[in-house]
Amino acid sequence: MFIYLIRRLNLLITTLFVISIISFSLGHLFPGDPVINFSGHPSLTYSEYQTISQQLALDKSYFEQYLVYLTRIFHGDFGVSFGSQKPIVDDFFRVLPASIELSFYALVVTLVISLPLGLWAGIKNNTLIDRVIFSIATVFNSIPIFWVGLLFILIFTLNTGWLPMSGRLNLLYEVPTITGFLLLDIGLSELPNKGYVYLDALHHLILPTITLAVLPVTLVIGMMRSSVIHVMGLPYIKAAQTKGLSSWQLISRHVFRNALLPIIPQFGLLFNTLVTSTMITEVIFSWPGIGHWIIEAIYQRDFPAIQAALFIVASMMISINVLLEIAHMLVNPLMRKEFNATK
Amino acid sequence: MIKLDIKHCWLISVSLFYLTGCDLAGLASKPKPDPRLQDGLVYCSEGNPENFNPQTTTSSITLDASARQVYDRLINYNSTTQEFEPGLATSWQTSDDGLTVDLFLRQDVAFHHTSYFKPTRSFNADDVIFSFNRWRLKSHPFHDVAPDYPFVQTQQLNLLIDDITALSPYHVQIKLVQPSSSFITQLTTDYMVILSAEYGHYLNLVDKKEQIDVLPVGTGPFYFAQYIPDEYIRFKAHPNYWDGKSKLDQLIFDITPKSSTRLAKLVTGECDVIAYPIASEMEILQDKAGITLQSRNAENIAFWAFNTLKPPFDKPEVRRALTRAIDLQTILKTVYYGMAFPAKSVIPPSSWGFNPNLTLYDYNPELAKKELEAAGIKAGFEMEIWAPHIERAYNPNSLKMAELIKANLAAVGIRVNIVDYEWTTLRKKLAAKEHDSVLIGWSADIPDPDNYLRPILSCTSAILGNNRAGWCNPEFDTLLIKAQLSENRETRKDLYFQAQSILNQQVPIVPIAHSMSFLAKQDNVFKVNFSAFSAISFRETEKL
Amino acid sequence: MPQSDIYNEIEYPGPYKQAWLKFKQNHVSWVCFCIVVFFIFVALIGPFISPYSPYYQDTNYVLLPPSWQTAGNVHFLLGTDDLGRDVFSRLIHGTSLTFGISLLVAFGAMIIGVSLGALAGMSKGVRSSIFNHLLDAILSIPSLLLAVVIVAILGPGLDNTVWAVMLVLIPQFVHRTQIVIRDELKKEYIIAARLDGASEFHILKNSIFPNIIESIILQYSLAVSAAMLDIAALGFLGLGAQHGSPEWGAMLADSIDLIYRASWLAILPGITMFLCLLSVNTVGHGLRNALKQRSE
Repeated sequence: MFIYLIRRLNLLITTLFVISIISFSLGHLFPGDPVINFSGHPSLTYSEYQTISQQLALDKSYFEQYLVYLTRIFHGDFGVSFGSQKPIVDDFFRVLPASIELSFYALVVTLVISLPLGLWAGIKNNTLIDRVIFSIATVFNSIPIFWVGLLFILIFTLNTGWLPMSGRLNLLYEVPTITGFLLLDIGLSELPNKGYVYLDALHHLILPTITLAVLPVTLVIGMMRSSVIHVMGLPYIKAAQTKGLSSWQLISRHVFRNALLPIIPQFGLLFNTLVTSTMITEVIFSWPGIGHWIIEAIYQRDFPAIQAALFIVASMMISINVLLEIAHMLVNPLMRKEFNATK
Repeated sequence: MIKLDIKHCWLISVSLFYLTGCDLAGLASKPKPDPRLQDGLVYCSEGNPENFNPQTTTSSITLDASARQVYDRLINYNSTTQEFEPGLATSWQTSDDGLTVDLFLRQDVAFHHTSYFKPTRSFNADDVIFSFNRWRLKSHPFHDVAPDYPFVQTQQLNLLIDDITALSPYHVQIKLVQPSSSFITQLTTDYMVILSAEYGHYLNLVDKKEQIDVLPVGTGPFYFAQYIPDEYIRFKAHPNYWDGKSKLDQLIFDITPKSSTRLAKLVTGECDVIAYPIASEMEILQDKAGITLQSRNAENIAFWAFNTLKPPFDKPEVRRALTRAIDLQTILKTVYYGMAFPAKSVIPPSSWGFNPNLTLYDYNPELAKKELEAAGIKAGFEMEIWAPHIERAYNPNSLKMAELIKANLAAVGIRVNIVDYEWTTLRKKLAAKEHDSVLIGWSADIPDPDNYLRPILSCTSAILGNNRAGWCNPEFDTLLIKAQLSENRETRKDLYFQAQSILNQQVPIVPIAHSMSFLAKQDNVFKVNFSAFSAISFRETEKL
Repeated sequence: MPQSDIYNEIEYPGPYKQAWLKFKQNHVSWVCFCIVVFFIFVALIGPFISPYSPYYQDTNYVLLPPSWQTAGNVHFLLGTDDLGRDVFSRLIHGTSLTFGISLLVAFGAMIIGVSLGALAGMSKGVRSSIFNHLLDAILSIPSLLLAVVIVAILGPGLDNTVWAVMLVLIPQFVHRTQIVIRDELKKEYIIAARLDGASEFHILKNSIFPNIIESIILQYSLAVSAAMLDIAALGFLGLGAQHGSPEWGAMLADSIDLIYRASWLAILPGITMFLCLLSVNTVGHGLRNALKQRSE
């Protein structure tokens, strides 16, 4: 167990190391002067240039430069953004909660919709209902997410005017930023009549959440379905059936749990898709999150911001992956056994 | 089989739904609005301001976000009555020799009380001197905070003013080097804002001088509360505004660069007012219930500027040949949808300085091709056209225009790469003269022909960077200076005619169109000041 | 003289043929396969059959709706865009760009990825572990983010997108190849071959490769659809194919400004792309099912 954790930690650290190298080399790969790219100050006088160059050890070997870069990262210093001339970390953590909030709701929607559907389809394998669910999943899996966003806007915003199309909240509500998570912040704020504000926030949430959830829902349905089909074929289910368990008991006690366990590690892939979709969704619905911020940074050729974004987002993804694997190991006894056996 | 069936149903229903333009608006039921939303206004603007000080820029996005919201001027110009009106100066008077201007200031004008600065005194002569000297004197502590002051420098106001003195706290005297016909008019422009001297001293003490343009303090109808780039700017009503508190409690600039998004947000009611709706949707907007359009005169010029510092664009014959290769009629039809006048010169026909006798370059690809060959441009020559991807008053869609020009130039054997930059980046790169050519334009600040020529084509502006052609012609400049010094309109007219002939001969820029520009708003929004020669103002705006 | 049947053995179809027959039994997959073939055909010869050049601007016919609407014109089957360019021709050319390039990109990524994967799968120890960490690191970067970063280095444009998307796809091939090779290596026939004294390369070429080729083809079908999505997404975000290009994503991005006035400009490229993606995905599913059924 302990050794397992050490190994995972080892994986985490080496991967982070690799990513820091990639991120570091970006500073040299991007067009323009490395001093400017690393520091984020676009117009420097000669003496400023020299000082910064020395501070970042850019006049020394790549190895020394990299060490300095690492120390800066450890201190949370990613330079300043070309555009806003503010520290990138501040900008990043200002927009991060919006993305986490959106992804979290999308994830909840995904799980609520796709797990039961996947389960249902898997149990009723090769029946009409299975084919319907699976076909719909395939169809939605094939719609490009940016087109879904456009269609939703066409239907629910432009043609019917039911839902707003951009932002997190009507800007006339001034909710002070405390946690960055809007629904929490509304609760913590001292605005009168919070009901209106909540309603408005929820209205803004609906379209982006659904758009973002489309792709993960189809993926999880697929995973869950094949996992359930696999479990249903196993002998212990047959045994349980012969014991005379009702199908409800069978499904809730045996099938659901045992089908869910093997797909937990695959959730890493899900997060990957989620981040990609978040970037596009945020652009379509002008959601002020990480994706929007990164794309804006690209339009503005804000190299320090892109460099930092790559490092932070990739690190987050790796940490999530490793955590998922550890969680999987903790809840899945089979996994532990396998591990002990091979060791 | 089932899979196929579903697919077909889905496809057919979706296609039918849209291709027939099904409208479910009747089914919509809107919840009762929150009364709080009635007291604020959301203006969907088209881009990020560079800062909040109009003195330091000519970008209309920055002007819109600051000039008439945060600041006041000494004198205002009323475009409907075409008269001057008192602003922070209650009266003014020019001496008989035209060399001295006396300004008598308004008393008890409060500066903004903000989270970052609490003023202790009201407006007086010190503030006027502080604000003017900032761009006038190199010795001023804040002069170096901004790299340049494009408007006053191209108009050479810094050289025109000899001295500014306070005769009493509410009496300022300005001495000019020579009489100037347009000095009072220039005082009414968006650039002549009054900053707080007390705020300046405070920033100087705490050594945060660059904050003056980022966190502004003025006397205007709204004070600055918050700015998040790419998202929004929040202003709040100045409670002690000298001309009465604004009827709006809050004013939000919702930064929405895509015009289609702005339009959609207007339709859904997320924006109360939007900047520059696109020409292609004008017909729809005109018929749409609940939305009104406001237009303003075409006091602007869209042009295609060649970087004349870069070969082969330094040769007039190349530029002339390229001009002939462009089909302007199609551009007017497809980019402006007829909402613009073809530009025959840089100055619009409505101005008295417009020269109607210019011989124009007709669209003639064959001739253009011959001329290009004669000038040594071979088939397959590559050039870049830079185009900002935001709408400007003078150009609703420069990318599309670039697209058309690309097709036109392909016909004469020139390959075009279209480069699109975000607005602020574009301006920086243009100032560094890295471009081959750029599609850009100019909106006039004052109703004077000089304002079309000097800021965009004089040698001074070539040095400062606003002359996107980098073109400097001493003969042309001499004509402009002569015209500026003369009081006689006929003499001036004659000089401007000559200047335009030189332009027509040299074509540093290809004039394309004078565009009408629009503002679209909800029917319940009234009195938005949207007129030529000034930035947008919400001072008197009401929402019912 | 009629030939007697006695000497003819009963013909058993080979494993590939078996899979093919299984695949054909599923009508949906078969239809989708035909659609994919059709798209490939269009991508190949599209530029020769399209009625107009995708850049040809007929400014007399601007924003013409599709021909089945009353205002439509039969010369422009699917209408024209705001510069008077024929939407039908643009869609055909877009097929070469979005779909055709995706096929090529995925193929390139497959060649490189499978070779690297084979190297990694056959090696052991420190080398393999370093390689795996590198792979994990790259796989942990969301594909679009990686593509966006590469585009930021190379500058926007369809040609640069191609490299970006290929680089994004390679690790997935490496990963997949490595896994299937590992699985194969555990099997007994490999041990048998090894005992016979076969070299590593020999084992890879003659024993492992024929057994994993189907999983690789499966991965290829996934890669094609991923490549299409990425190319179009980058075009849509304005980072890939540039404004005015007939690439589907770029066409969609251009259509947004006119979505109110000319919704067909947003609907048609979307439907085309959706149809293409759906077919590719369904073929992938069909293939997987066929292989599964064969092994049963």
